[in-house]
Amino acid sequence: MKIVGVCACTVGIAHTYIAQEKLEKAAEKAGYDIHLETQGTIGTQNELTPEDIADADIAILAIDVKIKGMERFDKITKMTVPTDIAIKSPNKLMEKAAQVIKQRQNA
Amino acid sequence: MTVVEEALDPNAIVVNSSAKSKDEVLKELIHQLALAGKVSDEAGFLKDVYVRESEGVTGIGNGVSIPHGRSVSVSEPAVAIATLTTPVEWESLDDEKISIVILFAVTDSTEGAQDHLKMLSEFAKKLGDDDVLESLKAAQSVDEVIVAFE
Repeated sequence: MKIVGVCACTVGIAHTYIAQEKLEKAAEKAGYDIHLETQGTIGTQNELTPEDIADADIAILAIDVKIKGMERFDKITKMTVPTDIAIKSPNKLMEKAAQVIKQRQNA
Repeated sequence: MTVVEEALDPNAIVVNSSAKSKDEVLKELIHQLALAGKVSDEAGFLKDVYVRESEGVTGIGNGVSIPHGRSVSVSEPAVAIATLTTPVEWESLDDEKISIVILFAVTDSTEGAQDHLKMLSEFAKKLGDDDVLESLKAAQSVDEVIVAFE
């Protein structure tokens, strides 16, 4: 499973990056590929390319604020959650992502 | 220098603080940052930290909280850490009391502060690692606090 996503919080200094680390760790544990872009005070890092997004099975947007380039995810299955959820329950979020993809495939 | 050495001023680390409330520990850490020359106006920064507190929970679970504020009262981006002898009440994702407080001081303008802000974000990322948090909770000295992040 291939996941892309964006993390962004209000101040853009702490939750964004903690959420990124939590999700990366959880994806690694579950054996999924993950590429997360961060949009914070220091700007955009680890930016997703259109190819990254086109190749992904699902997008996880862990965001508390409006993000730049939201339209990039128009054509992909996505889950949008607050950064708090990504920090609190990253493993559950991975399970949920797997379920969503499975449901879509069965539909 | 490593990110951790750059981000952590030993003077802004308080081990086994006896602070008895959220307000006490915030004031103690802000005072340390002022002594380290990172905060110019303690009351002003405290106010901005509470503004962020009002917007959402800063306890990230496992007894750790990450209060932070963007403020004109911050002269240089910095981080301060307190480990508490007695856990204090604090709004958190898992409703646990807080025994580790990591305060991020962020400048109002990013101009000229990009490097420091980048360092803070790299530091924040480490807090997403449960192993780091466990070592931090066990730390009994300033050195052990620093080592917890390496």
